[in-house]
Amino acid sequence: MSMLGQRITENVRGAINGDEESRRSINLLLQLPFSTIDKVIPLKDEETRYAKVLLAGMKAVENDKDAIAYLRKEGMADLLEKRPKKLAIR
Amino acid sequence: MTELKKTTVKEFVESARMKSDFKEQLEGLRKEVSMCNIDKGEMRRLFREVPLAKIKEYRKMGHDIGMPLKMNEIVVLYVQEKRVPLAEIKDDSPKTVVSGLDSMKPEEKPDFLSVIIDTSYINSMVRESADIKMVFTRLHQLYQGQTGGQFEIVMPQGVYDELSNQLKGPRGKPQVDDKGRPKITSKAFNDLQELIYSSDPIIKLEKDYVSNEDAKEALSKAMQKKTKNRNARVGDGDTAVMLYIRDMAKLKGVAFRVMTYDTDFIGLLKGWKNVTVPMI
Repeated sequence: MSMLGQRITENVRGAINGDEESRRSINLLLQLPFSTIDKVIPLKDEETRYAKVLLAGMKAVENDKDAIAYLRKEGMADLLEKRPKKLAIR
Repeated sequence: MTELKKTTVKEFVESARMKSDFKEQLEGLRKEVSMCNIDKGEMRRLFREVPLAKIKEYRKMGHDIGMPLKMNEIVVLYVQEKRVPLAEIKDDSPKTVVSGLDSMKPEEKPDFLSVIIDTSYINSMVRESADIKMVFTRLHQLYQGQTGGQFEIVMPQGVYDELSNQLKGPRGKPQVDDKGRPKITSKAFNDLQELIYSSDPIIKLEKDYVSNEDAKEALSKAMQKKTKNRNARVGDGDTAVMLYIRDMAKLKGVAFRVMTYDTDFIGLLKGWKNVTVPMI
């Protein structure tokens, strides 16, 4: 299971860096509910934690409740808040 | 040649957090990821790439984490782990529905049994007023004992759809057989749904396996040729069952038991190795 978690983290990193194969893998992964993703990726290191946060973020956009709860638990719920509009300079 | 430094996931998230544009970055990434779509044919091809040992390993893992994994979930996880090349797509046209099964080699020691439910099996149970939940619970117990848990009872989506259509009927009334008996009742259908959608399902619904006209035609021709019956009828359920066997037969060590009472269909299935049918 730890190998699987490591590979998913690598795929997330690959997707950020524009690797087509990784993006397709992540596209497939996002078909699963976040509760499953959460359970198959054990927290091993910081990079894995951020990969899970990123996947949770992508699932949270689809209103996956477990993903939103995960972001809250990790103290990352603020990430999904909208950027405050800049005040117009008068 | 120097390799460009890759952004780590941490850098990506923290940088987006600093700029307060995580949502925008996320949506951008999501858009790019969603462009790399994978269709059902590709999913089926990928499924055939998964070794049986891996299927077992993932099933065990699913059991350990308290989330039984379905076939498509297993494929998803296998792709993550093994990075199976996704670009190459083999011929998966519906016309190949029966080709290859004739040359199927017998499994001397199958280590996994796939029990496939056909429409006629359910129709027969309804006809005899059998308690569907009890029958399948006992069937599950029986195979559990016989195989040591290395089995699954599956219903292809095409069979489920055919039963659903029989229940709705052409005029909103359930379809009847030639003696006027209903082919399926709402109670039987509800029982079936409970078996499929319970938290620990006894029947696994294989959603990717639905009938289509090309596959139906190919199967009809094969059936007429083999059974010498020019009036051999092919249903959506039979076609979906065949498509499922065709894909699963690519895995090593799998034996099939098709629960059907359709004589034409049995005639077709009889010749193939690794496929057994109930005695009538």
